[in-house]
Amino acid sequence: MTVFAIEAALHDLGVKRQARTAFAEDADKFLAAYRLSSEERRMFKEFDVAAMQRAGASPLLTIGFWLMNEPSRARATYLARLNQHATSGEQ
Amino acid sequence: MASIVGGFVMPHEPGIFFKPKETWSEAQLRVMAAFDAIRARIEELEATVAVVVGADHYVLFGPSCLPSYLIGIGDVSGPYERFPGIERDDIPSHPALASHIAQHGREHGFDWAVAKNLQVDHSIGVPARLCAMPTSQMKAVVPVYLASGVEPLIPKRRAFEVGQAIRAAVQAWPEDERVVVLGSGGISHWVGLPEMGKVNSDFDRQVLDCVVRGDAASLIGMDDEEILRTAGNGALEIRSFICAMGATQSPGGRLIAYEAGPDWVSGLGFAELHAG
Repeated sequence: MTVFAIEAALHDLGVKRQARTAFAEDADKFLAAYRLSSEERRMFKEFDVAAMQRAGASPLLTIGFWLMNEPSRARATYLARLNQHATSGEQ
Repeated sequence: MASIVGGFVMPHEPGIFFKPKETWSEAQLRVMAAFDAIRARIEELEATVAVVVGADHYVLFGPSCLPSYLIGIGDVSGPYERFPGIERDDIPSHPALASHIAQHGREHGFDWAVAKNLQVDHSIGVPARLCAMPTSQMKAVVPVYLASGVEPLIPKRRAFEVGQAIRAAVQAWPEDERVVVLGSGGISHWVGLPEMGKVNSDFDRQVLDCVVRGDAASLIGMDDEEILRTAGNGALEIRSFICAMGATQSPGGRLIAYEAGPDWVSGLGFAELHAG
């Protein structure tokens, strides 16, 4: 597991339209191009931005990933997801 | 001979610029008035070139290449984001002066990264378009990016020294140019973190107080871990302010405005740096 691969995929999904299209069409196929573990691929497919941050990914990338790829594309849902995981992590 | 005739610090929070004019709140009007005030001062200073120091947000530069400090020496355009009423096309650049700053630096211990084609983001594009480009004597914008948002960060001391290197290079430029330096950055804010939306006005006031007193040493002396804890990852962008202070060798300045509120996710500070 390496944060470098997570950040590479996050960056591509933030700035490259082709990457976003490919991810939306077939996430497994898109993510196979990166050196990601199965757990890391899950983070992407489930938009688990809290887990990505715990793995060391930059918050600048996780919010960009959410706003450009998650269906709601909203900061409020992003923060709700982050805080939900923060809360569950404390339990 | 060219000289640095003044400097400014200002925010670049996207939330300022996304809103259509007809929806502006009283606070938003005060923020826009602060940009207007800076533009008016640049006009009074008869500036011909603006060096705009900004922060990449892990968009322009990716994991494959993260420069510590970079200068645009060729064609410049932007910002790449869409904001109502803000153009996104070419920005007049100054390849000769920018290349000179890069080369002068490299000959004096500053290994600049350079971009020959640079589409800037909001951190440079918006200050350039709102404050510099509309002024009557302005000929060109020189964009400078510091690694102040994405690790590994440029040390704050080095950001100050980069500012000093810009000043030395400008002073060695044989043509008559009146240069202003704009340090663009938010103060407290938490980008992409659970605390996003929170600000620390005490921290913001402390930073602005240092700017107005010309006290770069206190800003340089701030501990990054403490900044992260008390003012968020976005506050690391004070490196832009520090760089502008190094470039102006400012003995002090004046506060133009400070705003924070529910309209934005960061503390918004505006100040003038008098040239030393």
